[in-house]
Amino acid sequence: MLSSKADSLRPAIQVRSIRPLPPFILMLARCALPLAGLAIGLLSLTTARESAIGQYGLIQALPPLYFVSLGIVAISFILAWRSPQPRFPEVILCMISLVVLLQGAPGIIESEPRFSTAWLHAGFTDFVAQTGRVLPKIDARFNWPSFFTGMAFLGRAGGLPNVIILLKWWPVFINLLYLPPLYLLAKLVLREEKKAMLAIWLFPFANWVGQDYYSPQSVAYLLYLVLLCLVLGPYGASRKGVIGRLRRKPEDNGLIADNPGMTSRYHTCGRFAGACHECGARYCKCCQPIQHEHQKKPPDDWHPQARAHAITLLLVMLVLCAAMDTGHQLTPVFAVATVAVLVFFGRTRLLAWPGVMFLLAAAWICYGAVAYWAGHLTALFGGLSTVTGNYAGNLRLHANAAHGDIVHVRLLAAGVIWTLAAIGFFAGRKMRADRTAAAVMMLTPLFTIAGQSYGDEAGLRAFLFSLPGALCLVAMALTSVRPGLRPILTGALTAALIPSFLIARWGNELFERVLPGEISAMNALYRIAPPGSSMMALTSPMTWQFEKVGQYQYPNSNIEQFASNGTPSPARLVPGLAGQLRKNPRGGYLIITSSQLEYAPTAFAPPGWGADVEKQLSQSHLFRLIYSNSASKIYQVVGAHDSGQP
Amino acid sequence: MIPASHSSPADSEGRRYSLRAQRLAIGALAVALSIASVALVAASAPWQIRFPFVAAAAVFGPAIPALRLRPELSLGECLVYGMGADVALQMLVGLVLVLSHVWAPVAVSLGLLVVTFAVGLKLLWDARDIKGQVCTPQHH
Repeated sequence: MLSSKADSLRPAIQVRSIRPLPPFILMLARCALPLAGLAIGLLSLTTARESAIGQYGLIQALPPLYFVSLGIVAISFILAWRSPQPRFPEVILCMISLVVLLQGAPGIIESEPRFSTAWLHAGFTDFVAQTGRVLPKIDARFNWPSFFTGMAFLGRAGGLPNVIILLKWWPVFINLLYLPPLYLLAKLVLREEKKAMLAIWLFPFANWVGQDYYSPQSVAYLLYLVLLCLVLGPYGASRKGVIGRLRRKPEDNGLIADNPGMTSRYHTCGRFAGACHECGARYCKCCQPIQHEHQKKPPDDWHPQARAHAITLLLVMLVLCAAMDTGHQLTPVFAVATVAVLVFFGRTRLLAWPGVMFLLAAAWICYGAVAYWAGHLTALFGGLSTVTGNYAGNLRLHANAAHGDIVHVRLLAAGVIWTLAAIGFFAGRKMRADRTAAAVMMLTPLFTIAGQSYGDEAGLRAFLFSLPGALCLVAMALTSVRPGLRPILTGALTAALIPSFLIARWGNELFERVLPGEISAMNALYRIAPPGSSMMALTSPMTWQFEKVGQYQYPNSNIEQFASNGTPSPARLVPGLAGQLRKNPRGGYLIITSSQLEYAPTAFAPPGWGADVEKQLSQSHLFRLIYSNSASKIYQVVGAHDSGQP
Repeated sequence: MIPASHSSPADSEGRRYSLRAQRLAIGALAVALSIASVALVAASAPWQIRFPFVAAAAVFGPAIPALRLRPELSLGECLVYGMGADVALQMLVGLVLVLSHVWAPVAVSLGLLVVTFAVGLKLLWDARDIKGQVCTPQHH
């Protein structure tokens, strides 16, 4: 009996005798988990085959070990997040690993940088870098050129031969840059580090919109996030909204000065005031205490350091807004609307800032973007008369079954985020968090798209811009339950969002990837075609203009517009294309790529339509094949003056 | 009403050393990055070496060290606002060069690097005596 008791006690004594690991070693050991996940994920991606990409996109090419690695990173995050004290190094490593694994997968699997528009933007940047000019009449994007000029400036200073080198890893880089402002913003809104960590953990999964490729909007979104941090941070307030202030009693000054949950770190007396942490006094030694009390202070009193601080921050905001207004046409619209509604609800003290932002944007449009809006006012403001159409255009479902599934997954992912955000808004009633600011950031972009369809893409952009607010509300929803349930709910949501992200984000990879054959075909065409000749793509996914920008004409085949009245038959289509190309006496070329043939059935055409068009092209005697490889075919129109010979 | 500060002398001492450490680190990084970038640009080093340094210097300076001169901002705010301002500054400088038809990106980027270097030096200089500058707005 005694001996058995002694045996049972021995392990306990042994356990007690083990010395705990030093904190630094413990931290290193914990950090090893996300690093192991990252290493396993990257290794598994190197074994994936590009040819396995199918109707559902990249997910079909991803090896099982990749999902294991995502699971390891997720577990590592939840372990770090659920600990009583936030473990920043681990969380940071988890976030980096997650972004690299989610956004870097195509860069490792695919042989060329993905997405034709990114190549186009690279071409624009290289044009600016080589010539120091922009071509506002060639493309609307050159009317908002500061992204291209900035990257050209940086590229030339850094000695880059061309920016195509950056395309593969741009989404990883820009998504990593999004995280610090998102964290700061979430912390300002949620007022708790752990909730803010949860909000940014969900961001890489929720950001399936795909605007983070090498593009002006990717950088403009970063500037938008930083601007919101400034608006809600140093200039934040917890005043009553405009309606509340109209209803206030005469003795009420409209301020909630002692509200412990107010958004700003600063006092709401209307001035920048500091409390000295050195002397422990209520107010800084530099100023008399009486100067900081808003009831007593003289009207023109400014803290000497605070004034410089305020001016510094306003200058930063001005630079951010100027870069945003000259860099992208849509982001300033969301920014002005969101800041204006935040002012309306009393979440910021910058009452006049929406006006300043609007004037800056309008000034650039009047000065720098004349080439775009002159003659295109209907395109700009025509959407105001078709509000329901602007929403409906974003919800179109295509005939192709696989693509329809992908669109459904996207809608489902957005629906889950919005539903959880709505739950979070009501569940967060008793939290210290600023629900109003979060709701404003979420809802304002969604209502902003009522005025413009933006080529049926405004809905996607609105979802992206609603994410900072929506994810704060989702974090409120997930943390409103019992503490024991929080990691389980977070894990379940993460498990659901991993496949939904991979399908929603990379589901169109079959036609959004760029094949090496497409690049070599375009390089060949740029060698063959005389300057000034016309180049036409059969349908829209076309990787071109990555060099020799402005030297050729690129007429639109307009097939997708005609397709709204039924799929254009190849017999009628081919003479029409030839007629368009023959208008140019320098010659015309039609390019058909694998990506286009994959895209057509998802958008407007029945299966086999591409093959029929190719057959018609070869039989019509209106075109002759001058170049062909595994991914592309180039036809030259017969009848125009063709000086270029293969 | 403005609530009283509850910081103890130990807290304020900690803050002072923290601000000093931040200034030293950010100042040293700004100086090192700008010197390395200028040297690589001057030596026309291959882009594989030159571009990462120039890009890092462009994202880091001059706004992050300049904002760290202000004691009111936390480190996180300083990094976020500074990074945003630096990215915006690159875009606007490029735009001004294009619009003014003075396309001299290498020369102007060297100028920006010199500004970063100067601000980094100022930050290091200020880090010597941090006392009396810690006047951080109160956290709520």
